[in-house]
Amino acid sequence: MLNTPRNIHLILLLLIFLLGSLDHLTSPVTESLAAPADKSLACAPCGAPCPE
Amino acid sequence: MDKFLKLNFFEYQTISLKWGNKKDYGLLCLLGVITAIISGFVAIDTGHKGLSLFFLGGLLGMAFLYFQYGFASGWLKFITQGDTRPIGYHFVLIGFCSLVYLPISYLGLGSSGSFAPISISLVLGSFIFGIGMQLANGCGSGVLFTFGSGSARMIFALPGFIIGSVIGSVILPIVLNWGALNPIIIGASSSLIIYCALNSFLIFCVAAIFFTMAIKSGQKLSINWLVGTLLISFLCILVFIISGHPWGVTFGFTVWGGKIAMLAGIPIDKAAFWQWPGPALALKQSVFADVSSLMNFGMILGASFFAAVTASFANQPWPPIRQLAAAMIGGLLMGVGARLAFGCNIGAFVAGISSGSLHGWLWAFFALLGSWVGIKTRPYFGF
Repeated sequence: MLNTPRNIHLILLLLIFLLGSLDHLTSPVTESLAAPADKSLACAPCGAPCPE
Repeated sequence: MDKFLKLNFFEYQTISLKWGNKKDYGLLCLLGVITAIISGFVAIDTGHKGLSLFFLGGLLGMAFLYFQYGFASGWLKFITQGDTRPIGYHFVLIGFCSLVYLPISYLGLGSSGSFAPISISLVLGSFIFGIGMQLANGCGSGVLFTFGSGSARMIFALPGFIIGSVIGSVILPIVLNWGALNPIIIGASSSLIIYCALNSFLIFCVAAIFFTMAIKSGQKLSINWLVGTLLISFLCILVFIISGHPWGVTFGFTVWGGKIAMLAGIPIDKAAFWQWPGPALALKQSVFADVSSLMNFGMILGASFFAAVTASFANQPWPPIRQLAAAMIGGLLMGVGARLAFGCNIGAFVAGISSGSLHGWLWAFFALLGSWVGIKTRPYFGF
């Protein structure tokens, strides 16, 4: 039975891993971790600029 | 410990996780391979810092799953049964974090707290998030660790969350224009001691009020939950020190959604949100180079590992279809809400309040109102 929660989960886990790996291998090499709040003008954790 | 128990305010509780009969060796092997490959990628690019955060995500996934540390379920108990203990534990978690976040942030010792504008988007977003949290039966961290443990409901809530957070990213700049003030940090203009003492006092006072209410109504505080709270706050503090920011969950979902949209040919990078320097960089670089995204991978894998060891992975049947629909809608609402409100229970409620930011307190108030509406909506979905 393919449509059990377990099998769907396993497929999704593999899909998330494969997409993540594909993205990693096709992205520019970076040597430092980043969070959007690290960037200048960021006024919120998501990197939104200050309102005023 | 015995001394505490004799006070008769505390009790041991049985952990409600359903353990199976034997370990899931097939799943353990699969997870081992995935973890090894991701660890390799991370180690090559971002070294020990990336690896530490990846594994901290894993430990958080295990801890949340073991202690069944839910925000959505805690708030549900508060609203429906008047059980004030879970919110009390949440404020203890926030209080412990604040003891480290506040002085380090104030003194500028490398890590900075979580601050966000006071805006109409914050009010709307946290209210919407609260509704979604009760429909999906899990918040940002809850969706991650229960998805990792094999919850059928979260098969629908997680994609909903990702789609919702992309929608939220598109509308956030518009809603921010409706009205916003710069972040307000409680006591920031006073001395270090007053700033730290004021915020921590406020937080522990709220925890004490909730615990007193519980004890007066004859309820006992759970030793397990207090231990879980202590452990999770310790892990949160490590994340803060290593990454430079409090732990956040939902920006990782937004990055995943933005990248999937780009893969599908949708030019999401043209939207105003994705032009801001932080999101633009996250969209360009690897999903393993963004702190939130990397820790989300770790949290899913950590919870899956724990579920495989306890043979509890995906061992429940499909819930009724109406509940799956509720999970999908709840995920969508949480995604939109989290973007508008600058985070979820972790990134806005815990991180915001423990950083002394007013937005965290407002988030909690309006998300609680939203939760009440969400709970009233649940019967339409058959639960």
